[in-house]
Amino acid sequence: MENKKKPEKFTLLFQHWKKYKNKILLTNDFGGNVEIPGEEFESICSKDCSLAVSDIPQELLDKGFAAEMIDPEKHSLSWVKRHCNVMMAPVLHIMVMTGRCNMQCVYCQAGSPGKQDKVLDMSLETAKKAVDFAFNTSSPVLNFEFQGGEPLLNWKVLADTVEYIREKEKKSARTVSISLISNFILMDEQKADFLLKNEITLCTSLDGPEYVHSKNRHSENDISYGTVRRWLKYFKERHDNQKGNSYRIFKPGAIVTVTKNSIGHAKEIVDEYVSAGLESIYLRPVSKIGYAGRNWNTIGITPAEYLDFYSEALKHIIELNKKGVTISEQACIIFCSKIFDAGNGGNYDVDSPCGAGTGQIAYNYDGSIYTCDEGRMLAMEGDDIFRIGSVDDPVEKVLTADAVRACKCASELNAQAMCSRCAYMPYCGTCPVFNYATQGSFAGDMANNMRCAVNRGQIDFILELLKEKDNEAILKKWITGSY
Amino acid sequence: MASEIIEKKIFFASSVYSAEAVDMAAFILEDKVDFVIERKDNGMEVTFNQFSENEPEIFANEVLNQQCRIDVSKVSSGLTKLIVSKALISAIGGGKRE
Amino acid sequence: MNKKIIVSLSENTAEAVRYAAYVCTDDFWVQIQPSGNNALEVIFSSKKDKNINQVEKRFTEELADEKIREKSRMQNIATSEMIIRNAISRFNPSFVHDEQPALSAEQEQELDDLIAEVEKELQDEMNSSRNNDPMHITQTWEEVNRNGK
Repeated sequence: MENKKKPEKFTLLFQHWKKYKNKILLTNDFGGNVEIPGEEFESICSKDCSLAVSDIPQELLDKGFAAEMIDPEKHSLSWVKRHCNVMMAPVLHIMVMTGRCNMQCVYCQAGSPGKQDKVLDMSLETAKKAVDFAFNTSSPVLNFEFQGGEPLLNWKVLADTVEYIREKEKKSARTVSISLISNFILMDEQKADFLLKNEITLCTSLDGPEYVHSKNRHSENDISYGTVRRWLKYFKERHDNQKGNSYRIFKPGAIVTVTKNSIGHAKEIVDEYVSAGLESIYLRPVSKIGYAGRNWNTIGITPAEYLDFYSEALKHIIELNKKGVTISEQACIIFCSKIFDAGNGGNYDVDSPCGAGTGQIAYNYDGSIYTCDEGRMLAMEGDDIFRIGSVDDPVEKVLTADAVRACKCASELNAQAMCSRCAYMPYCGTCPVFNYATQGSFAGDMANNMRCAVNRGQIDFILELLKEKDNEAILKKWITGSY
Repeated sequence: MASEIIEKKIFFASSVYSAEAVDMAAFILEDKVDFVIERKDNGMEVTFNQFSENEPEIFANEVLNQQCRIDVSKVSSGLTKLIVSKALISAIGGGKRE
Repeated sequence: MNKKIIVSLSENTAEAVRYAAYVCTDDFWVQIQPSGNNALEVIFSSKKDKNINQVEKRFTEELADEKIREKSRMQNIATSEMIIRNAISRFNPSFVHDEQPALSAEQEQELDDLIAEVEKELQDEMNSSRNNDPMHITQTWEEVNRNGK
């Protein structure tokens, strides 16, 4: 840049903005976000966006809004940080060990067939083929996530597969992590020991205090809530007392699915996580895909209902942080990572293009491979449009399957009419599975898209929070803590 | 509650909506809306039979949605292809193996 | 109840009219038809209980925003392509290729064709936009002036 003669006039690149009362938030996909007064914006625009340097706020010149002042290195790096999924081979490999479940959650189809249909279990042969497939992809980092149904119902195969993964890891140049998502009902000390000695991160669902959790997650004799709390305590104590171990024990985690049963209990749900010793909460709204879609009248929430819930919960979480309590919210971390130009938050859903089939893939119990777990859930309801192959297929054929290409094209936000103009485009992403399930096409209809409304509302609220310095410091600390 | 109407026609002029946009809307909604498409010289006429509620309006909005996507792709398709191609090449490990 | 708005195509592009109308489809049903010599008629009707009188202001504001975007749209696309091309070529993470299972000759050919197709698409896009740097952003002052541009 030093050798360049400074231009006399600049072309301002105004494509993404949002009006807030009398201010305008301008953004771009190269790490730039600037707020300017409405009158200044109108004045600049009235001059055809081509102005002398003295007429332009320096911040606009510095942050990629002037074509003549683009710094290719700096802005390319910013783009790569936000869209690193584009540069990677699949990292997340979701292994669905069984379609059986010993619970009947209101938003999940897995409980429907009951516990008895062992034909829904993944065989060891299929599991090993799935692991081989994952090791045949090219990412130096592999994350295996065991789930179901309830994966502990297929314990023997799960344990043998874990050992197989660790053996392969020793012979390869990969960094491998494994996690297990379970309702813990079948957990015992022997299984817990095995899992911890193999450095598996445990994750479960905790939808809130008992009166919320039990309405969402039905179990025989209503044992789910007590079981989850007991085992979270157990794993946290094992983590806290692990000094001297030859293996690492990771903190257990949990996620929330927000349904109609959760509305009105935002603070209580957050407090439940704090009392369980959890340091992170992910307030995901129930998604109208598959079984949840069929049950929507009972459990569904509108974007407005969810956003009221979310803002109340996030405000409460921030207040707890100010009192010294360690608790962060995952969706906020994902958005703030992008707002602060720190990365993409380690997420495959809220990205452009989304990670379906390239950042993550899902292996079903029968050996079929899907673009993602949501795509697999849709197949369980009878529509396998997101099936991209099987564990017997070559890697390259699966990862460049038609459904993968279609997901990429549909979720690349420059190709979306509204997103390509939206101020929040640099922070956001769309889900082709959600779009297809709710609106009939991979690209969807953003003007009427529930997930778009939710994302916009969340970012609105987060940007409002960030106007206070105290809040900004807390959210920045969450991002540093997560990397 | 809307009473059932026998038939309604909407004409999508080719100077406003491309045939591709109408076809895409038809593909998306074919299981949900009952219609017949007739191609004319200056556009497409869609006839809706035995509908209730706002099915013709839903169809028209979807055509507009698809047309706006077509409009933006004329400008940004190069950018999208660049990004999508890179994502696919990265997924398979950066290209051909030695 | 309907609201009809006539928009002149000598002051607005058809794309801008369509987009401004599309943004309103969350609350309104929309149809657009040609009107007279060089105009479009945009017909709004309310969904459920939405107030039809709100749509004109919303539509015209969006149309005005589109005019601003159109001024720098092509330059913005060119700049984005330049930055992303740079990103793609400069920043390459490492990949690992462990021992692969043997493929049949037919499978090898199929894969080679697939990879070649995807690589060609990438190369075509990079080549087509390589010359699209009218602002000489990637060139130094000396390069620009030595070349007599």
